[in-house]
Amino acid sequence: MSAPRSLILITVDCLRADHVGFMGYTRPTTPFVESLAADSVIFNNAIAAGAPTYYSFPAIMASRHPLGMGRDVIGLSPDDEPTLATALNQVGYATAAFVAGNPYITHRDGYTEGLDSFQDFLDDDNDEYQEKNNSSTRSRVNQLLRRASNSLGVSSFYEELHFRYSQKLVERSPRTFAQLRRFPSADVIISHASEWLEQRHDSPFFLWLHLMDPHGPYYPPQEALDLMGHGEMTSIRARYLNSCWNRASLSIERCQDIRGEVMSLYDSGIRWVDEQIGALAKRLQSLGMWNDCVFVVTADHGEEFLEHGGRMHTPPSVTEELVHVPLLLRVPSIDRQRINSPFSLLNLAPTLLDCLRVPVPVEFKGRSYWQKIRAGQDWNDEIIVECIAGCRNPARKKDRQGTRVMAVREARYKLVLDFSNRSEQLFDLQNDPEELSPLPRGTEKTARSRLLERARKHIAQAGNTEATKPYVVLSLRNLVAEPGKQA
Amino acid sequence: MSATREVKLPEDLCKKVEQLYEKQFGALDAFLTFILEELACDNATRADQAEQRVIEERLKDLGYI
Repeated sequence: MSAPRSLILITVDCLRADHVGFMGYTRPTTPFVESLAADSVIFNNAIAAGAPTYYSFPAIMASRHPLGMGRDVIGLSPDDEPTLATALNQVGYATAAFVAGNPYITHRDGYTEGLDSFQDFLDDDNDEYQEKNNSSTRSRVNQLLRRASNSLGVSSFYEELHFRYSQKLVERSPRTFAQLRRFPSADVIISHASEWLEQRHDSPFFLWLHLMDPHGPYYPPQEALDLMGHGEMTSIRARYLNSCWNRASLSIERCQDIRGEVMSLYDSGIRWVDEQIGALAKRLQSLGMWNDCVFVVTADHGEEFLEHGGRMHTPPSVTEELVHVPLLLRVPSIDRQRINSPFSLLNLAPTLLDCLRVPVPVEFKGRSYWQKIRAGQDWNDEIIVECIAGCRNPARKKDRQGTRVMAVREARYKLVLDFSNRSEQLFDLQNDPEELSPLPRGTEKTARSRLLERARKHIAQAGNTEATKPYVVLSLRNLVAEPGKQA
Repeated sequence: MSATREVKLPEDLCKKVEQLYEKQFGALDAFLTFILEELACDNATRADQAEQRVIEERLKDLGYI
């Protein structure tokens, strides 16, 4: 069989490695992808280079560390930064991407470079959940009452009252799951992708799909809930659960009470993605393309369900539940393999290009592991994960310029450095895979110093990128777009 | 106020920028001063250097440097 020519990359937002069947999850979230695993290369330790999306994707698409262009910039520099798409486009690949409404993967953020066709579904009419005129009046009244309650010292009481009142209103005008959903579901993306595929004839192609179904707020299709055995879940209950889960002030006890149900919604979103990936594979088979393409399924980052007290995926962090992602690589004629060696998504693009025998841009900071994979070799190279602590809104300069949180991870040890409080924690992932018990400070000196030295080298290199043209371009883009900016 | 320098810029470019950014930034001088101040600011470098020092102190504690 000749080497495959085309590439399909499916990135799933918020997909945790430990919620996927081929990584050992016992609930039936991914039966189709699990069936693919029998003929694929599975990476047991695939690690995102940063979380959330805006810190992860520079590594996935441009093989660049999240803060590698300086901590103050978000996105890619369109004219100066080669990507997986530009590298393939330059050698004649037809390229397309369909992104299910993620506001950080857009033309503005530099992700369309090298793509003949790009659709982000951000202008789509998902406005059905927008309330009518009287909601703005309600909002103003709420703000006044909130201020009054703050000054009287009864804000938490008022907030609970307001929450319950809002829920009562919601019950009076229920909406369907489809109306509540904030992103186009996977079937919409697959449908568009299938139409595009049908127009491909003989040219090799690169198709990138970014699916959002596991992303909060969690409103999976009813069909997915049925498949997961949660058919009794109503949209009213789901809306209540999402509203609670999103409340910053909700106590840990109340969060724990609803965690199981929230996770059921999340898992159902994953199941829907799996169903649609199955539909796409069927389509590829009917078009005679299935055995001529490399098929990749991964995630930009995971999701938190209180493992370390957090929910969803902000503020940015480097915990395993956020950075340990699934990675399945199906290459026709390559045997099934399980790779335990740690693999950073920084190395995904160079590895895929090498697999397709396409030149890897010299600007890529990652490297190809394709030859090692073919040879069945292990490795234990350190992986850097980084983000800016507290950067909930990367459009705000103040958020972007915070302090770094980083991890240096290898197969067994993971060193976490939080410069906001100068903390240093070393975890033995072999004995403590959930990172609950940092090793005492004076222990494991050899591993600790090795990882510290790696961190020092990484930060020293980071400072060398400023004053380059891409840095200026990105800085200007981020500067002038700052909301409410005044001189 | 520090000494100033005169620079030459294409007139049509200046008009275009004024049109786009006058509301937000006022005069062209103010806009360009803002841009240059931001680009010249070395907060990120200082933050990187501060983080490096934290790591170096720790490596010294461990007796490795």
